[in-house]
Amino acid sequence: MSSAQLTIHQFAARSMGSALRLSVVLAAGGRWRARDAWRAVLAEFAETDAALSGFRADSALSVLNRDAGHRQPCGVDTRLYRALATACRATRVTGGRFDPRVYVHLARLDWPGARFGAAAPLPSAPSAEAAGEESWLAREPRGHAVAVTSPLDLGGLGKGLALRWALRRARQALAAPGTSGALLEAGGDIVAFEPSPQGGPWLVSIEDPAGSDDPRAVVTVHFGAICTSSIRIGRWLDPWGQPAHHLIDPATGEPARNGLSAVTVAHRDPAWAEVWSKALFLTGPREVGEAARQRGMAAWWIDTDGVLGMTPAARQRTLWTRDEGALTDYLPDGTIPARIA
Amino acid sequence: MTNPLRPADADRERRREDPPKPRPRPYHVVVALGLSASAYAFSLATVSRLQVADDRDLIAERAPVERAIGLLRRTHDTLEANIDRARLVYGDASTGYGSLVGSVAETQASLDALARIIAELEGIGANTPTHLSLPAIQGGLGGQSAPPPKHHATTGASGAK
Repeated sequence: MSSAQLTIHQFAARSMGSALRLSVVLAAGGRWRARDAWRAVLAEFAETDAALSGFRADSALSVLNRDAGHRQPCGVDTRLYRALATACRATRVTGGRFDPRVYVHLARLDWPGARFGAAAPLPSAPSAEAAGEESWLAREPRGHAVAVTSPLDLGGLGKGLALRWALRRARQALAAPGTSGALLEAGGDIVAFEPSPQGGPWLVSIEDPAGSDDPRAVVTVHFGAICTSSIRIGRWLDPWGQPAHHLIDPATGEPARNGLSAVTVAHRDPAWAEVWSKALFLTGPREVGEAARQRGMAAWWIDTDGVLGMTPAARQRTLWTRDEGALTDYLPDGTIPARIA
Repeated sequence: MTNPLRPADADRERRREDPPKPRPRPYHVVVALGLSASAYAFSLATVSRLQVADDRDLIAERAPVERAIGLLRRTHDTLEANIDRARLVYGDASTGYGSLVGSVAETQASLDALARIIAELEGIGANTPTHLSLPAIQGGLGGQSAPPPKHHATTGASGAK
């Protein structure tokens, strides 16, 4: 399909504390389908926010956090149940680097999001040895009942799941996925499927964690998600006046200060892109490359000196970097010749 | 007065007047011969039947052995053919190995030389720092670097803003 036949429809709003943006590429005359897709996205984000938000006292997650420590499983919202199941699997797959029990540490460090969900007094923080255990969750799949031993912070996983579910509903609304493309963005987390307005893959830039307006790299996304864990935002001062950020290392209970500024991961699923960007961030600058390469992931990382690194799979998707310039041929509007796309 | 004859003379006279009777044939001899021949034939048939039964039993007893011998013969033939083929393959392999020996020797010499080079490099490497902190290159090569392509979105810090 040539780009001349495609029209783009863009929508924007705020949801889950983030800017939400949908770009839909359709053949001419599909405006109503695009509006339906946007309505589906808004509905999904609203429902997911009500279930998983850590910033709402009435969310299902906050209610569960207030009941943390009660061993009797109780029924929860379907989205929350699925999110907890995903978090439990993420804890296991990442060897404990992704651990939602860091909520206790975030609360100790006076994280703003911890003011809504936890009952006082908080349970003791999980020890380093206990990090990675799955005993924090008891599940009864038949009744969607759960019991948790500790208040939980699902972090970006909630937003990743919202993107997953919203894109699914949007594709259903678009009704003809083979002839349309879309990009859905929520606060720096992106999921998309081609074609872009130019007819090829979507082009996504990786922001500079130092705060510069110029991107560090521009990469292609054909079908899937790309998410970043960065310490550029989500910072505050802890009760002792020390700077803290939201990327807590479960092994130490402290904000990770390992020499990395940001890690970006491309994955087919936005929830797992979120999980792995955080887990790889906590791996540290020396092991991040090997850890990502072993899993065949496309990952980019920027250390505190501003040096950009990437895996071979990431290099195949990279169109341009600030340090090296163009890595492949592309036209001025970002269109990639077919032989490369 | 009549001439009376005595009885003996009368018999003699009468025998002279009667025709001579034919002498009876010896049927009993024929019967005896027939009976003895039959007995002999019967006993011969009995003995022959017993002999045939014995031969049949013997043949039946030896049949599995003969089949086993046949199978062994065929197996032996197959084994012999396989051994012939293996001998041919072994011959080819021996020829190939013989030609490889020279190459292996050359490779061994190359590996020895490489090991010496690596040992020298390790000696150099032990004296070099394991990590170099190079300054990040900012801005590329003064205008020679291509500008970033127009992009559709930006991924970045994903915390709540």
